[in-house]
Formats: sequence, structure tokens, C-alpha cells
Amino acid sequence: MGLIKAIESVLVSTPTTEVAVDSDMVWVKKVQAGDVAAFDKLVVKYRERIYSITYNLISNREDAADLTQDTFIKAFTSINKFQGKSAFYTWLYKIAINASLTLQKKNRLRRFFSLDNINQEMAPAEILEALAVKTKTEKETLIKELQEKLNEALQKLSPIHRTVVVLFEIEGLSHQEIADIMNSTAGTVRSRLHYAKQQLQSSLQDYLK
Amino acid sequence: MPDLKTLQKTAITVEDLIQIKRCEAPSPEFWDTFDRELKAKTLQALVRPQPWYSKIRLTPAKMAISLIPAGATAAVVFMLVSVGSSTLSSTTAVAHSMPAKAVVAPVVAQAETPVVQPRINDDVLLAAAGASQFVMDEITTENDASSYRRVMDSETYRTSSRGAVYVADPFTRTAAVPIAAAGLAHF
Repeated sequence: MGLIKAIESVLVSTPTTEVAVDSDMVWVKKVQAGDVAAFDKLVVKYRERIYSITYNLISNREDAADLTQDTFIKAFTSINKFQGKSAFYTWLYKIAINASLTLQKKNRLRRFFSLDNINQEMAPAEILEALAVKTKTEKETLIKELQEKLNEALQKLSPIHRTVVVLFEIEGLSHQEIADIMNSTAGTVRSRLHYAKQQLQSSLQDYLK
Repeated sequence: MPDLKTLQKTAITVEDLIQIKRCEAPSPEFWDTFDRELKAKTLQALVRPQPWYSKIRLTPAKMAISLIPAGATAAVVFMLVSVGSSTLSSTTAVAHSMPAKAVVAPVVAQAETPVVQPRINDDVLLAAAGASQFVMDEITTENDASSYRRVMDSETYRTSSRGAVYVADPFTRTAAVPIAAAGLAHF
């Protein structure tokens, strides 16, 4: 009986993501049936996340905006090819990541940062204060400096390692979700993440002392 | 002076630093422009003509698909023709071992509808080949005046290692001569 209750509780508790995925499929099917307006729902739902992924992969907000738009246009024009074998967001993230990495490959000789402002209300105050004490700098200055150093450190990583860090640490995806997006295994994702963090640690050691 | 909480947070990790990246976000006005631009681009994508190379890329596939029924039909026709011709040649070759009396149908009609009959003895055929013409069948009717002999010439068959094989059957009205005609080889 206990086992049955445990299974029931798991079945009841898991579907938060599944419900989201199912609701995506409802909109996707509407778009596939010719309801163009239904695509707006998917845009509104995912635009921040797609922008965040592209922005953190290339550290340039203008390019990130273009890439986000291109991602949605590509998804829209090829939505009939989407058969629902994977979750819609997995498919969308794949498009965004591929587009970002392709653009970065193309522009590898003229890469420059164009960064968004840090929302200080959302920033972890504890960490910033501790860092301000350690580095003996003003909070404002520290934030600007740290933002540049973080972006530099991320850009030093290889595209694969950067993608794993962005998806896990910034977007909060699970190892398995990342593995699905990157066509690899959860174990590979873990090992890439471990390696990437070691690289970041050595790049950002001034703040970690 | 830093408070107790700040002092406790002495060990800063990479994960802590990356948390700051989560706070980088565009202003709310950015999304208004974004939506406008995206709508315009989506409409452009809807009316954009397909590039010329997409047609070329599709053409071989389309051609292959359209050729499938034609190919299948050709294969079936070829199969029927080859099977039909082999049946015809074998039936023609053996068509004349029946006793002459049995053939009572009109001459022309029989030539058009070959009947499967036992194979002719090759030796007999080869013996008859010495003559320029020979009688294959006798077609007799109640009325003797309309009785015919079916006459063949030696060019209507050829010999091979597998025996004598007819290549054509010229049995028409012109190949039929009255029974009264003489000087023909007979078997």
C-alpha cells in the first residue's frame, strides 16, 4: 500500500513541466493548423528565456535580440516539421543555441561586448557586499567590473562548455534536459560542467580568494 | 562595519558569481520594440518567395516520385511481353503435332489464336527442312473444295542446340494451298 501511495504521489507531483509541455503542444498544433496568432503565445512565453540564452552565449545584446527574433522566425517557418517527439522548448532552445554558435563562429574575428544593465534589486546583496569588502571597492564599480570579468570568463570557454554553463547555471535546466538539447548524455553534461567550472574558477580567482 | 551575515559569507563560489549574470536583463521597453520587429519579420517570412535552389533541390525527388508509376507500368508491360513471347514461341513450336484431322477451324482464325499443343518431333522437322516447302497440317472440311494443306517453308524455323524453334508462323491464306497441290514434302 505504501508503495502504491508513493507512486501516486510521484505521478501527482511530477506534471508541472509536463503540463507546460502539453500546453505548448496545444499552441503548436494550433499554429500547425494555420492559426498564426497562436504563435504569439509561444513567443511571449519563451522570448525572455531565448534572449537570455543567446545573450549569455554571445555577450552582445543587439546580436542577441536579432538571434532571438531569428529563432522565432525559424521556428515559425518550420513548425510543420516539429512532430512533438521532444518538448517544444527543447526544439526552440536547440535552434537558438545553433544560431548563436553559428553567428559567433562567423564573427569570431570581430567580437565585442554589449552588455545589459544588472538589475541591482535582483542581484544577490549578500554576495555583492562580501565582494565589496574583499576587493575594497564601491558596489557600483564592483558590479560593472564583475560583469565584464564574468562575460570575459564565459567567452573564454569553448562553445560547448559555455552552453552547458549557461543552460545549467543561468537557465536552471537539469542535466538531462541539457543532454536532450545537446544530443548527449547526462553524464557527459556533468563532466563538461565540472570542467567548465574549473576553467571559470581560474579565470575569476581574484573574486574567489 | 560589515554585518555578521556578510562576514559569514566569506567563501564565494563560482556559482555565486554566475548568479549575478542572471540579473542582466533588458529594459521593459526593449520588448515593445522586439515584438514590433518580430511581427514585421514574421510577415516578411510569410510572403518571402522560396529561393530558386529549393525548387532544384525538390525537383529530383518529385521526378522520382512521378516516375514510380510509369516505371512500374513499364516493368509490368515488359514482363508481360517477355512472358507472352516466350509462351508464343513455345506454343508455336509445338502447335503442329496434333493430327491434321483435328484442325477444323477456319485457317486464318487458327493462325491468330495459337493453341498449346504437344511439341513436334525435331527430327521430323529437320527432315522436312530439306524441302523448300512442306505440309504442316491438312485442313479438311465437309466440302473438299475448301480443304487446304497448311504449307510452311524452311525459313519459318531455325535450329539451335535446343532443337528446332519456329521464329514465325506465316500460316495465312496465302500459305494455305489446296490439298490437290503436289510436290510438297509431307510428314
